[in-house]
Amino acid sequence: MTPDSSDAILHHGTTMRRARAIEANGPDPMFREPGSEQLPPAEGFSTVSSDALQCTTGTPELAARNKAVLFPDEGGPAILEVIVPAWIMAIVYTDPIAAGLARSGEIRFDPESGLNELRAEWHKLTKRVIQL
Amino acid sequence: MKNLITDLLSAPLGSGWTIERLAEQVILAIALHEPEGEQASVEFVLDAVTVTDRQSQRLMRPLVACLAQKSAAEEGTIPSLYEGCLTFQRQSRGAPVWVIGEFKNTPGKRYVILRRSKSPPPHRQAATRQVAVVPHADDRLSDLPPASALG
Repeated sequence: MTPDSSDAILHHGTTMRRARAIEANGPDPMFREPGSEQLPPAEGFSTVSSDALQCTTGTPELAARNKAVLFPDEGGPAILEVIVPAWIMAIVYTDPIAAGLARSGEIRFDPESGLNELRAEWHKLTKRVIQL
Repeated sequence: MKNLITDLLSAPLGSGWTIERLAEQVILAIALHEPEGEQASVEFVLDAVTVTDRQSQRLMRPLVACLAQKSAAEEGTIPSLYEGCLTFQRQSRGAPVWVIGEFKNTPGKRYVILRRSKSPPPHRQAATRQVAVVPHADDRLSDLPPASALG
């Protein structure tokens, strides 16, 4: 897939094991971290634009490094990069909660804000995993 | 007892809302919440297990992450997104107050606890005491032996 200039290059910070799993299968809204069975599942997928100047909820690098400390047997910190087409980004910006988070630097895909569309297109999207 | 955090999270969001503005609203609401009479300082708890409305569920994680980033920036420390202490100094009726607490977003636990305090958190008090007993730099220099005595 050739990226369009209006497509978004997004980064998700996590551990290497999870980055590889998401790269292969897409974000899993039912994902629960080991030991978190009583908590609600992830439900969404948080990313930051690769050219974002700041993110007030934390950068992908910080998230990845912190997550790798919590889960030391998951291969260390990594960034999953994915290029998301403009039409899916437009869904994010029309959801009031996701739009507010986007103004703070975080691009969040929830069922209300493009997650289903992202998952449906996932196998067509350009992706790569970057070890930190 | 009203829970200021859950009230703010479930309230309608303005058209131009941002997560940092919401975080500041939470901090200020607690800073301005004076306990009644002899009532001890109230703890405000937001726990993922008890959050039921969809808006609050969606806002909880980014709010906690933003509070963590904001506290670290104000304290000059390295932020941790998944576990740590929170400290914010604000003004209430012209006097300094602190909003202090802790948060966790680790396996099995996802919560934030905040409370108002008229005194700084213990690590700040220790720093203040330390500064208070350290003589002024000029005095410390005058305590040194003359340069010639240093060999």
